[in-house]
Amino acid sequence: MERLYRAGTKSSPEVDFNPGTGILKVSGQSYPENASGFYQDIFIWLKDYLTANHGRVVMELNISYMNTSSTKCLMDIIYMLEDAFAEGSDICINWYYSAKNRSMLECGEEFREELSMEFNLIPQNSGQ
Amino acid sequence: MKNAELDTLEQLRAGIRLLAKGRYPETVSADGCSELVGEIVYLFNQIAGHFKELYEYAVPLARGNLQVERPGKTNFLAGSLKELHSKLNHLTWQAQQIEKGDYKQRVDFMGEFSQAFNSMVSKLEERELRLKEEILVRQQAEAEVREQNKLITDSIHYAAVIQQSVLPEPAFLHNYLAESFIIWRPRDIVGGDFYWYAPCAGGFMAAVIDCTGHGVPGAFMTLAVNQMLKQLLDEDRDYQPSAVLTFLDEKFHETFYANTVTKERLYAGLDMGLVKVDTVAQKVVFAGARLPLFHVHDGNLREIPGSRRSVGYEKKSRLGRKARSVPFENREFYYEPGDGLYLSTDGFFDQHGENPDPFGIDRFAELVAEYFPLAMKDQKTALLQSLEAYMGMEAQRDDITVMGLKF
Repeated sequence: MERLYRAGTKSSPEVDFNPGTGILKVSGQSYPENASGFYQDIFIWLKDYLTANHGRVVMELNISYMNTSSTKCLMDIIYMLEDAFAEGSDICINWYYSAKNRSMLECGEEFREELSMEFNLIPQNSGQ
Repeated sequence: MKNAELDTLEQLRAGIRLLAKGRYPETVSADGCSELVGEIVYLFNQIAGHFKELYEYAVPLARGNLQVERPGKTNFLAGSLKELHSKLNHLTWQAQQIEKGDYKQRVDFMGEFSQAFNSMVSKLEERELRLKEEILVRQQAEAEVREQNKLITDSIHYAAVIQQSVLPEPAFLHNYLAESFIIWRPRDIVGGDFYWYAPCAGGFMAAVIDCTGHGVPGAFMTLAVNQMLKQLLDEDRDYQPSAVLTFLDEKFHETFYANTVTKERLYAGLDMGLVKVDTVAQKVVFAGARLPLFHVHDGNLREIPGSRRSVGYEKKSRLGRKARSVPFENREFYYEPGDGLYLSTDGFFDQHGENPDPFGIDRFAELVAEYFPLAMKDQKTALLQSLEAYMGMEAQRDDITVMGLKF
């Protein structure tokens, strides 16, 4: 599979899904005008990847802001990983948040409460 | 032969040698010579003078100096060069005319050069015509886009009038409160945020509401939700805030998720902070859908979180997982005169600045506590100034609504 890379912009996050290492990174801010359009390809890529790959998958999320519709898209992605986990895949999510950014911490906590797979909340210094 | 003539002849020989090498002799003197030798000297001096003039004319001309002075009429050697000089002057003038846009100019000397030059001029003319046409087409397209944009913007500006007409009058709160303020700043001309007041048994209800989306789609939602709230008032029952949220949640599903065609593509809901104030018993009941209430009492601010649940959105029904059901909860407390209540949508908290981190709910709470001693209208100004300072040159990211109530 080909690596999926999208450079970040002011309103959309940097996406770097590396099929070689199994590390899937999303970082930055996410409030594109059309969130479902933005995440659609990412969704399809992940679906194919989870079908083809059986090694460890680590999703690194380092997001400082998400609007409502982006949150919905990310939720769909996380649920897809959770389903793969339920079917036996080795999956871990690392949720990075700035110590000053309470809303992203709370958002991560809410996800973690709902999920059975490994989900780490990792505080970072501000501005990272 | 006289000595003087021999000397003159010697000078002539030296002079001719110099001329042959391309250099110029001094004027030869014919003093003391016969008439014949004197005439030869005279002619020699004339030829030597012509050559000198020609040289002093041709060298600067060859180097491109068209300002050089022309030799006089008697210098027959310079005649053709002078003609060339005039043509070059004319060519310069023609080039200047072309520069001014006169593409009729044509050159008719120097064979291949004139062909190349003339073809260049006509190519320039063609290119300019084409560019002019392109500019015209683009200007027309621009005018059309401007016109379309104006139509759309005018239409949205009128939509804003409609949206603002359903917002409640701020004067309503004067019946119940010492002071109050409202900040309502849609990101675009209209927005998905709105605020709401209504009388109820013993007092009033007040809410800030953040519907999904901003701009026109957000504004559509606010009108629908406003109507749902009106329907609730018409039922004339004494709803508690949590029941209002539950009522809206049901209405949302009836209204937006009954259509099986659009259901898949719709992601509609709202966040809301709602207080019901009994001014007789001095009691506040608060329920929040993902939005908190801030209560300032005796100079201390406390944050009362809302429920971790939004109103609306499609219920998740994932295989092998039962839908999560967080109930909306009421939080009750008593207030004293002088206390303050603040409701805000997440637009203020989530605004970014140069720093990608949002403004933050904690910073908001700190500022509310800090500004609390001020008059309400000054609190509003101070909050907006803090927000604008944080934003810097960045644009507003979401609709912003803040309500301040002081007993």
